[in-house]
Amino acid sequence: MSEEKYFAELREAIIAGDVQRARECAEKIVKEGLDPLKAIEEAIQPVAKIVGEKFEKLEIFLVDLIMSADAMKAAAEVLTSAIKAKRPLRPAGKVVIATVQGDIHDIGKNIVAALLVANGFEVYDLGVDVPALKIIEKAEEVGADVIALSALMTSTMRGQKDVIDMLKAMGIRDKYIVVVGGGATTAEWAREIGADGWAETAPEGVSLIRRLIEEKRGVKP
Amino acid sequence: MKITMTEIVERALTGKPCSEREFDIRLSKRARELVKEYGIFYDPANPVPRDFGLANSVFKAGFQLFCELGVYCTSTNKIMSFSEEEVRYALKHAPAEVWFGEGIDRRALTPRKPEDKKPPWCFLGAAGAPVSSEQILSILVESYAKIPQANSITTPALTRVRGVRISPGTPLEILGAIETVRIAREAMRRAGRPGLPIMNLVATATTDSSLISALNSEFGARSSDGVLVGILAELKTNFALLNKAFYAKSLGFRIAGELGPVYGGYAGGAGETAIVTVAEHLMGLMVYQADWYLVFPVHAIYTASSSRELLWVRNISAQAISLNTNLLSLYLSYIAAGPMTEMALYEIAAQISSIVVSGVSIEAVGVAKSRHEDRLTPIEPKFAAEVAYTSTRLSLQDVNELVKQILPRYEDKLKNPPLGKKFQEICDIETGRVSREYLELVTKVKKELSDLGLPIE
Repeated sequence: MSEEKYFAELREAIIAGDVQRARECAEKIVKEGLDPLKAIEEAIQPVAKIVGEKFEKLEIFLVDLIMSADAMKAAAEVLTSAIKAKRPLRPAGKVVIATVQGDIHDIGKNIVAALLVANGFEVYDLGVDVPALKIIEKAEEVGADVIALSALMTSTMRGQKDVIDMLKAMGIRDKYIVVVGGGATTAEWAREIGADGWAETAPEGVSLIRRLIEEKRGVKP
Repeated sequence: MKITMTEIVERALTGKPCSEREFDIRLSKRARELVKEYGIFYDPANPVPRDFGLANSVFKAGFQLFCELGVYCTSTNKIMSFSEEEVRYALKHAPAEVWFGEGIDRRALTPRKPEDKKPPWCFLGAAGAPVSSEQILSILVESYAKIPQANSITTPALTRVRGVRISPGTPLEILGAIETVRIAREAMRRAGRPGLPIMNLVATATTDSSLISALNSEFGARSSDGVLVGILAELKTNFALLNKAFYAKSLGFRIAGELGPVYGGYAGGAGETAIVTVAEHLMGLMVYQADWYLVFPVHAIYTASSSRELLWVRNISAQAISLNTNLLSLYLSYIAAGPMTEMALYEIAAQISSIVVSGVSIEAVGVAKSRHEDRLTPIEPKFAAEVAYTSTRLSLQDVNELVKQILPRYEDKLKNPPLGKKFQEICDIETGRVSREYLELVTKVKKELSDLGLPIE
């Protein structure tokens, strides 16, 4: 079987959201001695883009997105561990994501998390109603590039400001890119609280995070 | 026999364990299967369907989904299950008349049917949209109460109290919640309608503790008001929400199951979101023992409910509920555009006219997605009420033709809608008087709508 056929099989498994099959396809690629990095670049990354675009147009829905993201993650784990022996693979970025304290809404945050995983980010999803300090402690622990904060309610938006204020008080504000989003938030609010960015929709959020990381790393977007 | 609140909590504690992820995936897959099994098809060419067979199928599929899946409690990670017999019994004994308000403004909310000539219940105001000060809240509520069609008021949510930004779970939230009720009551008294009910007690209260604090009659809340208890998307609850329901119910408040299924979210596509909307009505009935229902399906990307798919979801699910139950359902319209824009008025016209002929009542309006601070005026709910009354003279077919002509006027702007102007830029902050420019815009749009078949008086 040609290399392209193996890659095509992997793409199909990811689009179908079949975790088991995606993992098996990745294992076959490694076993056949094909280049795992090339598999990530030519099989996983283009599919991630397609899946993200399809969700943005709502040609697929959240459950499809999550299952594809899980399949990508499973395949990427197999391929990455095969590469690691040769040279370390840098993730697109490490993101700690949470819905802030007092807010129990998670759909928007889950969409962003799934899209980030699908796009090769290492994502630490802390769930909902998360205190500011817990978010910061996790970011410190994993060496995150980005802290992403969601809030649906006008009454809970302040939780985003609390995280930024606490980062400032701890003298580590500049270590992290802080982005905010969620039903109640606006670009005006993000500016007011000193966030690095705001996005209205999940796909825009992923693009924003990618751009801000590239800018911080000094890579031209 | 009716299930008691104690039994509800017991089911949350002793139900079958399940991970949240597994429940979400199970719901998505089963909804998709049921849409196929029942032959439910979304027709973008007809956003206001007139196919009662289809509406009945949506109801049956939603009923089956609810009975098969149950409700997920995120506090215990367990599934609360309900049998078909229990749900049928509850539906049979659901209140078909609930009274709200006091004195001359005391009224009964009753069910409607598709193409009903009876005007819808008009729950008018801000739909919990954020306002930056007590002064703006006060003048807005006074203006809402002056709208003749208003049967009840939906207040804004304060983002600041005494100039300090509110944090959830702090005494500031409790203070904000108490102030909202106190100021709203005073504003309605000034408008000469002290008996009007507030049906979104209390928009500023997010946590159970602040809601419970604000429901104290000392601050102006009355048991003839309505209390909203949210359903987490999709088919989920937790103990904080059950605390709200249990406490409000114990005081005799009229509880609403508040459901906002997300099109594109775990529910999935249009057909699936319609059946989840039905299932979540049943969740409100069974889990919160709701007296009425506040319904707002939203679009995952646009976070408004005026797109073509959402109009269809709203209208077919409303017909499903209206034709098959006596549940007292009010659909809330979220519009993407801000005040003093033509788009906002077109979005209102499309949503309100179609939902009224689909057989339910209304809450109006969530302006600029209820997201942008102070982007609301009394004009939008007033306009919505006028559209609603006019629509009772129309048929589903008339409104379908109307909406088909309105949609192209704003559909392509939903992703980047115009935000218009803030309250302070449109209205006199002391008197609430609306600028002439906005009134002229409303007159112009009314004329255009009249030419399209919606003759608003």
